[in-house]
Order: sequence, then C-alpha cells, then structure tokens
Amino acid sequence: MNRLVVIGNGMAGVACVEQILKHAPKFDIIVFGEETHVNYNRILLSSVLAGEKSSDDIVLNSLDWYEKNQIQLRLGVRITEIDPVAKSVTGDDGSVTAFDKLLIATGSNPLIPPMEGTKKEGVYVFRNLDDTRALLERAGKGVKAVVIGGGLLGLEAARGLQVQGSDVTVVHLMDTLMERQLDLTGGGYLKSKMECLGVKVLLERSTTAILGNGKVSGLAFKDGTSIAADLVVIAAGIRPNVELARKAGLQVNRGIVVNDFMETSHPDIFAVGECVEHNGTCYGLVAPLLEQGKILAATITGNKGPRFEGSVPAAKLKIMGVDVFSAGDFSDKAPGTDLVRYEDPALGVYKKLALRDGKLCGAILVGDTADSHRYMDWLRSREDLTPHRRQLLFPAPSGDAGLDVASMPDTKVICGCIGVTKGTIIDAIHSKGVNTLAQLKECTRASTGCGSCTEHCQQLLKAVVPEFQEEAERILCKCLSYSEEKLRDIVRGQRIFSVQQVLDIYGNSLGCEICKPALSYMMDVVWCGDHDEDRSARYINDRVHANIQKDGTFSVVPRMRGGVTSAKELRRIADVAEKYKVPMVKVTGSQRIDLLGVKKSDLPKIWADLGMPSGQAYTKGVRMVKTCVGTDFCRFGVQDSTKAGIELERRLEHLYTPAKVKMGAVGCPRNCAEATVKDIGLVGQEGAWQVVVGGAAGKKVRKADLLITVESTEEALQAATLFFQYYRENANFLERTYDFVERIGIEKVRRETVYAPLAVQQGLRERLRKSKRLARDAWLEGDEPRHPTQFVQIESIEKVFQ
Amino acid sequence: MNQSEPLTNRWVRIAGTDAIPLREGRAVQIAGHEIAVFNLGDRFLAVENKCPHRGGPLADGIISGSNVVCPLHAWKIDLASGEVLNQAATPQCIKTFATRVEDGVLLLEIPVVATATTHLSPDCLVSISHGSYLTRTASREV
Repeated sequence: MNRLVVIGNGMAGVACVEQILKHAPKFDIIVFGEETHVNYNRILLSSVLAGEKSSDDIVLNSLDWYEKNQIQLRLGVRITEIDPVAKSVTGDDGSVTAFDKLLIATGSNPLIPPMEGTKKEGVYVFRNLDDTRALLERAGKGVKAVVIGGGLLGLEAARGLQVQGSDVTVVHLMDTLMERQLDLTGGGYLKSKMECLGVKVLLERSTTAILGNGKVSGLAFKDGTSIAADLVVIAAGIRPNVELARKAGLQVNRGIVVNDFMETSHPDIFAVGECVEHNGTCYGLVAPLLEQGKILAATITGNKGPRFEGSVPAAKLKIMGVDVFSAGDFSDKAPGTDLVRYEDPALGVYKKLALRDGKLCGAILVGDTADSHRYMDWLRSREDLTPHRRQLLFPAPSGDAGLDVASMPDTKVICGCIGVTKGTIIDAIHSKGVNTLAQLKECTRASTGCGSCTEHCQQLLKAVVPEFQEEAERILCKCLSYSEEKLRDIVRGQRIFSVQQVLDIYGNSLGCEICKPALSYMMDVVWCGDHDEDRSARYINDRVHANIQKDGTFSVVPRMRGGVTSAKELRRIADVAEKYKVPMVKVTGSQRIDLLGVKKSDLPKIWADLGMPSGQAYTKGVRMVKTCVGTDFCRFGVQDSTKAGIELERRLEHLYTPAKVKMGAVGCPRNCAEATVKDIGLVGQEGAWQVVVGGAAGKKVRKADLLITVESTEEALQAATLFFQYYRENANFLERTYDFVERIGIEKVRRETVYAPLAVQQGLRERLRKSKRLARDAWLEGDEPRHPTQFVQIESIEKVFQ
Repeated sequence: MNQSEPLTNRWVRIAGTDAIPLREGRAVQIAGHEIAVFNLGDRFLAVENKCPHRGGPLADGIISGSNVVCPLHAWKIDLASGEVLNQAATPQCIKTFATRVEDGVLLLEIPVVATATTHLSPDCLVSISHGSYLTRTASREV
C-alpha cells in the first residue's frame, strides 16, 4: 500500500484525510501533529475562552476515529525537514519517515508586528488550545488585558478574556474594527456593540513597545501615549507556515503555491489549508479550506478532475450577541456598483449589499445576520437579482417554517463550512437512520464548523423525520428572541449584571413591560441579589413597595409572620389607619391586614409608624405562611404548625420569586389553613410532616403534590427551602408553582431537590443563603430612598396659578 | 380655568433634570395640569398623567423605547405623539407637552391663561443669583 504522510493534525489536514478515506485506493496514512491534542475545531477556541464550551466539546476526531481508520497518529512531533528527493520527512524526535505522497497542512503562525518587548512574561498569542488554556489560567477578575488587533480573532479573544472577568481593551491599528470585512459604518456599529459589552476599543493606535521589567506592565504607542496592562494578547493576523516547504525547494510566495488541483511544484507533494496560496490568495477561513481538502482528495487518489476555483471570502464573528457577517467585495469603487443599505441605530442593525450588473458581489450584516445564508447563496450562484430588487433586505415572511427548507433544491448547500447539501442530509436521514442533530453531526459533519447552519439542519430534521422533537422553547417576548432558560445561561455565562445590558446586547435595546420585569427577576436570582438593580425595569409596585390600585393609590400589607399578631401591633395599625385617613382596612385571605387607598407620598411615613416589615403583598415574592393554631391551643393538633410556619416565613421572607409564593402550615390533616392548596405546604401528621408543593386555589384549583414525608420539623423546613430555591432558579417569570410542577413533573422535581446528590442540594442551599444574606426588608427604603423622588410627586420650581 | 379666557403657551421651569431617574417617569402638578415627565436618557418627554382607558397614572409605567405602558392595564402610549398604540379598535390620543433643558433645569411648555401671573417660589429666588437664565426669567417677570 502507498504511504501518505500528513504534516499537520489541524482542521484542514484531517478534513482532507477524511475525504481521502472516501476514495479508493486506500493509503497507509501517518499524521504528524506538533500539538499534543487530537484534531479539534480551532474556530471554536474563542468559545472555549469565553467559557461557552469545554476543550472536550470542540474535539472533531477522537482517538477512536484514528484507530478505526488505521491512521497512525504521531502527536507532539514537529517535522523539521522534508527531503523531496529521497521522499522522506525528519521529525524533531530524530525519526525519518519515508512517503510516497506527502500532504503539507502546516497551517499558519501568528503574525507578530515589529515592536519591542514581545518576549516579556504576560505576552500571549491566541492560536491553539495551549494558548487558550494559558489565557484561561492567567485571565481573571481585575486583570488588565490588552488585545493588539481588532480583527475577528482579536475581538473574540477580547470578549473571552472579558467574560473571564478581565478589564479588556482592544488596540487596533486601523480606523475601524475588522476593516477587511467591514466598512466604516459597519465598524462603527460593531465598536458600539463591543463597548456595550464593556470591552474598550482604541482605534488608530500603533503599538511600538510592550513595557515592563521582564513582566508586562503596559503598552506604548507611536503617538506617545501609553496604557497599563497585566496581560497582552497579540492577535494581529496570521502568516502561512511555509518554512518547511521553502527549505524543501517548493515554489513559495506568501504561501505554498498550488494549482487548481492543489498540486505543488513537486509531483508527489500536495498542500492544503492556511499554508497554501492559490491564484495569489491565501485563505484563512474554514469553508474554502475544506473545499480545498475535497479537491485534493480527488487529485491524490487518482481521481483528478475537480478544480479549486477560489471562493468567496466570508467571515462571521463568533461572539454571542454580536452578530457580524461579511462576504465578498462590498466596495463601490468598481463602476456600475449599486449599494443597498439599511440601518437602524436604535436596534444596532446595519446591512449593506453591493450589487454589480444586477448580481450580488458583497454583503455586510451587523446586528442581524439571519439572512446570511441567502446572501451566501446569491454570492455563489451569481444569480441575477433584478426580480428580487424590492426584497433584497427584507425577505417575504415565510409562514410555515418547513416551507423554507422544502423549497430548497437538493443541491443547496446547507452547511457552508463542511459543504453538506440538503440532498446529503436527507440521504443520511433515510439511509442511515439519523434522527437527532447529534447523529446528523456525527454522520455528515454538518454544523460542526461555525455552527451557523444549526437552525437549517434542525428544520430539515423536523421536516423529514417524523419523530424529531424540537426542543420546546418559549421565547420571552419580541424584544429578545430567546427562551428564559437560554437567557439565564447567557446572563450567567456572559456575566451580565444589568437588565439594560441584556437588552442592549441580546435584544432590541428597548425592552417592554413583559421582558423588563422578567429580566429584573433573572438578574436577582442568577446573581443571588448581587446584581445592578435597575428600578426602571421593575413594575411600579416594586419601585415603591406597595400595590397600585385602580385609582393610582396604593395598598399596604405589613408582614405578620404565620398570621400571628399582638395587641401592640394591632394598636399601631389602627393608629396609622386613623392618622392617614386610610379609606379601607381589611383582613386578607392570607391572615393579614390590608390598608387600602394610601397615597404614594404617605408610604414611607406609614411604614415608619407601623414599625413592621414589608409583607411583599405587592410583588412576585414570598407572601406569607398561613398557619393554624397547631398544638398550643388546638385539641387535634399533632405538630406545632404555628412555630414551623413562622420559622419558614422567617427563612424565606424578603426574597423575590418568579411568581407569588403563598405557603401554609397545618398541625393535622384537617388542613384548617389549607396547606394542600398552597405553593408550598407543611402538613402535620402524627410524628411526621408531609411537605407538599404546587397547590393552588386561585384561577386554578390544584391539590399540591407530595414532595417528601419527613420526621422532624427541621427536615421539613429543609425540604421546603430546597424546593423553594429550585423553583426560583428554574421557573419562568410569572410561572406559578402549580404550572411549574406540572411542566417539570413532580418525579423530576424530587430527583433534583430532596433526592438530588448532596453537592446539588448544597449548591441550592448556598445560593439561597447568599440571596438571603443580600435581601432586606424593602420598606427600609422609606428611610433611605434609592432616589430622592422615589415616593414623591415633583414640585415644580416655578409656580403658575390660574 | 375659564374657557373663554385666551390661552397662551409658556415655558415653565419644573425641576433639575436629576429629579427624574433614567427611564422612569415622575408626576408633576402645574397650572391645573397633572403631567407625567419621562427621562429617556437622550431627551425628556411629557404627556398628561392620565391613561385614556381608566385614568391610570402613566408616570408609574414601564418605559419601552419612547413608549410608556400604563401600570393598570398595559395600554401602550407613544410619548412623543400621545397616541395609544395597542388599542387599534379605539384610536385615541392624549395631550403632550414640549420639553427643553437649560442649565440642567427641565422646562415644560404649558398652556396657561394669558393673564395668569407667575409667582417665584423661595427655591427659585435662591437660585436666581447663580443661573443667567433664571435672572432673565426674573427680569422679564418683574
């Protein structure tokens, strides 16, 4: 068998080997990799840095794959020499390996611009998994990081470092970010998106030196200014790695020169990937590299025919929430170019198409890249767009999601990175029994590149596989097209601490009465109260801690734990009612007293006079624990429900919840305080407590489900609080426990709370403890308002009487 | 207010701009109007503080862009035009008031009876010695 030696275990080389394996004849293949890792998806390194993926998640070919295909893998060996005459390669371990055919896929090296001090400690490049790991180790809270280079890689690195808690500045030589992919306007939109995320951007700065005594302390610029830095990442571009080829006497310009068949100047040596130059162009993006691999596979296996004809350069920025796409040539320099533009500064959306002779030749999309596939198709097909002129930027809405994929021809490329067509996917579904996205990835490799075609793949699966179940996702509202679950992940993963920031980055920046309160709650629960509270995003009830009534007045319900009060408290309540002429005093269904018809400006004074904490009757929060008289006086009571209820209320009071939480504790199964129709109920038994959850007696009547039966009161309280925190973390905003328990299923609720592994339970408890530590009685704001006009109507400076 | 008396628009100084937190509204009572003033970050907008539906206090609503959502029944009102946005069946409009900021002070343009006199509050007298605009206003009134 002929021996094929491959230098380089990266995406392009291994993808080419995958293609070669599809052809006959077979080779005896040896792959040399300088890195010590199996082949991984280099494009996703920024996702690893941003904490969205682990290094295992980005593996493309596991060791099993090499073994199964009988490929000899030599990791950690750098090839130092190619002997084109003797047809052998020498490794830095001294080994000499003969080849019949040689494939060079050495990729590229980071470009280090000329400047002083690049060898200092704390200077990094961002090119491979080891670099990423080193950065992850070094980056952290309070670290001042500077990224040199405002291109794709630099921006992705900057965002990753920032997610790790670093204070990040991007320094860019040109007057616009990603100047090779964007115009000035698009670059401006991108810059403000990055700044919105908290990444600082310095344009038109040429770095002359990295400062510091052995260790990085800052950067000096040509204009005489400087900035401080603890960590510097150089992401100023890449340079094809051509040294081996040059030494071997192959024809090399900027890259290793290849023809349309991917042949080099030596008949048995081929090259693919970022290290090659075709027709004067070096490619650095994944789709053309994989295309090259396909051509080369045909050539090398004796099926020479297909030609690499260059490809439309296309790039997509992979920063969650910062959508940028660019393809083709979008300059208007050539005569006969029409530019079609759309922009909306409030939404941060900018689109520009360049058309020449009625055909699309370039596109820029910032802020909304949903149509990038359509534009890529038009760029590739060179279709005459004259009939579509009115719909260039706004596609006619397709009513049925399935319609779109149904109308595509089988030859349509779904995954541009790997080059998988609709026909291939349908074939895989029918002939290989594929019915999940994971299987589809495994089988066709579709959506394993940049991942932007995932939605199309899912649509196809949905259309063709009858049993395919798309994950049921409820979008929060039209301001943000994400489910609450996804948003929680985003908020946590991207370390976002304020409602407006979520809206600016992931939404339309406006927000509405639906998403703002939901996001306010989300901030509170994700960060356990350690977030940037923005009262403008809260309902009026949560701005003034009282319940607004139909006439604009408010109601006041002080907390009366377990419904137990005293003569003193009642006297104060009565005094307040008289002093402020409260129009109605009413006993509520929650064993408390409601003062109705109070003016906003009287609220702080009333709270002070009452001297009781807020009962949270106005908010999505802990309302009350209704109790019966338990064992103290009742002749049937078998558990001290009053004491247990008061304790439960004390442990949870002042916390926000997805929807109101009403609780009950009863001392015997007679259930006088109706604990079995409460969100959380404790039902006393002889020698035991039943903890029940998800009950309701409101719009819906539902008997609560049994969570667990325990012996001691403390165990019952522990079980109740575990459920409470689980509900807080996993329910959608405004979802009451009865809907939540039905949606999740009580079995799963039990598994993830009272029967969860100890570490999981401890996590729930720890987060509840933190929330509780930071929660305070909202009515204390009466004495210390958050804003001078929080409770008052503005008095105008100038008086006009008439 | 007597309808027969002629109305004239006057700019009235309301409060320092920091009296209204970002993306919130506040009610202000002046010359027989109750007005809701909103701080949208880049500008202030003012409308009558009364939802055309059931009279809800718009100043207490949540802001969505340049609209406010009434806290009682979620009617959405365009603060610039006064138009009700989400009740297509019953198109309605509320009164709007022009706003202006000078030297950190927010002013509203309010229709007043032509003969109405202006009284300066003690607050204002204190600040007259500082701001040039205030002095101008004062001298015009004198």
